[in-house]
Amino acid sequence: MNVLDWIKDKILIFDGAMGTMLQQRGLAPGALPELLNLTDPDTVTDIHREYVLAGADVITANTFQAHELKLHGEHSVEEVVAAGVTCAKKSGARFVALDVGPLGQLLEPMGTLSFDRAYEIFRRQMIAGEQADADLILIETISDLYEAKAAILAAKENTHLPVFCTMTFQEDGRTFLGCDALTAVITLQGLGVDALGVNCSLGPELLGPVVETMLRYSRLPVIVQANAGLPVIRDGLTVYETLPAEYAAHVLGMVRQGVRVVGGCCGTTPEYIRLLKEQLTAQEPVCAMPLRVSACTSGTKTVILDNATTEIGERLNPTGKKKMQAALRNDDMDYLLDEAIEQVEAGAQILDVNVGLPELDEPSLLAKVIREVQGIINAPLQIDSADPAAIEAGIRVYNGKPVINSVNGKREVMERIFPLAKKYGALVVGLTLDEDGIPPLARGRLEIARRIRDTALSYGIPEEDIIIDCLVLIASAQQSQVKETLSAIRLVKAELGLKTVLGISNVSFRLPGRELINAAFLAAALGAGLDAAILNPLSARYREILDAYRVLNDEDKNASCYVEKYSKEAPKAAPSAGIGLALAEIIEQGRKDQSADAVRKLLETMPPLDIIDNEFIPALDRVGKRFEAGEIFLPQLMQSAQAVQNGFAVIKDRMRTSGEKREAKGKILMATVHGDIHDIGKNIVSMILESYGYEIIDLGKDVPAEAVIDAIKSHNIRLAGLSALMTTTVKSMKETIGLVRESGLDCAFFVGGAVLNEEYADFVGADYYARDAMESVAIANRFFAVK
Amino acid sequence: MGRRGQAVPPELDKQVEECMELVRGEATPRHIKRGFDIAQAKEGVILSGAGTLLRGKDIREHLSGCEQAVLMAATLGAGPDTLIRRWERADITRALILDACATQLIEEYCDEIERQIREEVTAVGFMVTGRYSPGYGDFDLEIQPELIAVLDAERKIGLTCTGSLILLPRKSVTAVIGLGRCLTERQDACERCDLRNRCEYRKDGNRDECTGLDKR
Repeated sequence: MNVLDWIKDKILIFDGAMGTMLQQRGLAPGALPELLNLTDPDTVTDIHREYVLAGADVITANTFQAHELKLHGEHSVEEVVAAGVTCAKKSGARFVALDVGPLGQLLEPMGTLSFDRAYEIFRRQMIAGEQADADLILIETISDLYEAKAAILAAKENTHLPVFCTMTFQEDGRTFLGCDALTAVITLQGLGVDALGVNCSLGPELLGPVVETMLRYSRLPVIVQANAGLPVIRDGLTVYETLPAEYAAHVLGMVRQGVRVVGGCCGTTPEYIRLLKEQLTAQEPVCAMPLRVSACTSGTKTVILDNATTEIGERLNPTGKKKMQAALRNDDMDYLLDEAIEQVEAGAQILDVNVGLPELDEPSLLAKVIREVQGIINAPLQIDSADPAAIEAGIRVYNGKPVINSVNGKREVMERIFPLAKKYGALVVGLTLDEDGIPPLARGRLEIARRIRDTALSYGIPEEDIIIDCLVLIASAQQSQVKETLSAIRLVKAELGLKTVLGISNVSFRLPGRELINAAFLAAALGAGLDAAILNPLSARYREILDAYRVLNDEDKNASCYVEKYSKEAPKAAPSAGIGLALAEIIEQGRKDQSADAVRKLLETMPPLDIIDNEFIPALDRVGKRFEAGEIFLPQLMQSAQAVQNGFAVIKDRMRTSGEKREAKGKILMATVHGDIHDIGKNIVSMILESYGYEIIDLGKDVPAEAVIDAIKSHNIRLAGLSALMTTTVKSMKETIGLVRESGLDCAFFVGGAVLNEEYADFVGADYYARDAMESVAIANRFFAVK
Repeated sequence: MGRRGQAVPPELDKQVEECMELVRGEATPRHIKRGFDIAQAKEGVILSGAGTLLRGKDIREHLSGCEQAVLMAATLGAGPDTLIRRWERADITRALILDACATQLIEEYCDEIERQIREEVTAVGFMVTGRYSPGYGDFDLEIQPELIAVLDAERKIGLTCTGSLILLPRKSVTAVIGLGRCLTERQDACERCDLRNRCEYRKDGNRDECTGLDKR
């Protein structure tokens, strides 16, 4: 009988702690327990055997940290894993689990470990486990949902073993990286694990709320492997506060609520498992009745579409948007990220991401944009492409359960997209069109929706993961069809019970006062039962309709949000300080919100280049002098530079439309060196150089020497700035400069960062040392001999 | 933020206040500490039981006369990092201020932990030194991974260390505090100095050069 058959109708009991038992036998704190599989296998097997005798069904092999990063190449992963699984098998265990813990390094963008690299490390451990004949894989003590995804993909793509996954929650109900229990359940179950749950950190008495959430939403068996309470230090040893009988009683309570897999984590011993086994002998498994909801997640947040009006931001899409197109072509991530932040701040709960431009490599660009956006906002994303390869690239690197936009009734499209939706556990938008186009009548669209649903079910995709888009037609061209869309929404809701989504804005195409038509249509669609609207969250008319509808639909309880927002009198446009100031004064005072307007006004009378030379630069110079003299400090200098940048943006726009060209003063490459992730200092220097009219190629942080060399070549760079903040990463600064010199490139370097000084600058072989941002400007000015 | 006594304009002052609130809202301060008997060695100080060698003459001096040491690690968690990363895109000046606020907050948090430790041990007749962190003087950063392992800080408070010895989440601290029955005046004098956590002498390991003028 394999473990999956077992959990169909029996409670499954795991063992307790290994580390605790080893430390009782004298293992020093901080030592790597996995090496004992090789040096003292008998001790490891003895501990396993104690757990078998206590009644554990599954023995967790001593392989928690048996991966490349922790073994440092002293022993191979395969060797340590094989020895660990062998120790567990020798104990007479019914089932042996390969134990897989977190890698101990944070993933990008929080840390420097890439998702792909994490996957590779896990892959090696998973394959070794299957080869050593483990019966299942237990991925545990995970704090980062993204890391869980890398591990689960590595397990499922490279082995045939069942996969269990547990995450670790703190007192606030979240993991160290902010994932809550609901988000964990929705995402892990989408990724196709066989059981999921919680382990470590707290005793069972404090895990109640987390476990209840899991039981409420999980269609899979729920696992609880708690600590023996909270750790306290007694006589130099870590001991845990919850006693075995207490522990067993708490866990029994959870089993009665529906938990199916139990065991112990830190501090638990064979005694805990023995009592647990005793308590559970007469206990039949209880079936929890999970809620089935349509939900998507980010790494730290869940959006449930049931009983709510959900707003999906449409602005990350180049169709018909020149600036967005330019940003995508120029790799201008700041522009995209600004759009993302603005939409979320305006109220979007999910963001649609589409980067389809014919000449760009859509799969790699979509993956890149998704990584960037999910690194700074926590709204779930809707991955929007007509290219299945781009969709797969996007959902693979996505952290959470995404929405796929879209499939339709065409057989070929469904055959490409549904396997991806199933594998990565995504929600899928289904458009009601097929090989014959969009049916003119609502009934026809309903039939396609039905076909989409039935096909999805045949792929194992649950029906709550399907959202139907009944498609908007243009009122100015097909006026009679607008009502059919609304009827189709009603039919899909009534006859299929599926969620619906609709892109609103197209309805008003070619009509004047588009916002008005859009808003009326949105209200009508919501009235027809629409669950989610794809729209521009920055439109005030949409906002009003949504705010009002949420009151009428009983979502905004007691109308509290509505009252809060609309009971205040419209604020009179308060005369803001500084209006009417000259541009130079605006810059010197760092009034960054006013510079764009001032530049626009000045452009009526002054050519763009004169504004740069006669206004921006002299004003910045005056600010720079005051900074150097210690009269003002860094944030003030930066605000002045930001004021210039906002003005620059207006000038760039003007020159783009007029076709006027302006030579940059010089091109400067900027990077924080490999191994270092402090980039705020470098970004400040980049911004100030840019406001002085230099073109900046910013390679970001943790930049390998090869990337610097490539960029110097491809951009024909003559001056580069490198930043390092740690003594440890000054070394990689030296390496980078050394490698550039070796490859014979003629590029000068200036360096900076907290630990740098003249001496270090010499040591690393730099040409200039820049104490601060203004000094970088002086260096650049001298280098390019401009004034 | 590079301020050297300049007047702070009121708008900026307000921003700093707002930023402090934002950072506090995102921070999940956690810490772990553990006491060890210590033994002086030629190359530094050994934590008995863990077998860890704290290498360097400065840490040895810092712990001279101590019988025990408390190892501590503290972090604000991942929230402030994400907050700062986000604002770096939207408004870098604000990001800089947030970063400075977060640094201030982790220092305050460590002060609080230190105060707790002091209270606990003075009750049983010990004096304490100030906290001393890897990177001060010749106490090399190389020790970070071992300190994290000894404290099990990865599992207990979510603290990690990169290959370049950067602690992540970013706003985190590891430190050693010495416990002795009778510590010298100077060890204790630093304790009472308001500037001790900003003290360049201490960080550079040149504590002897301090003339005490700053000690208020």
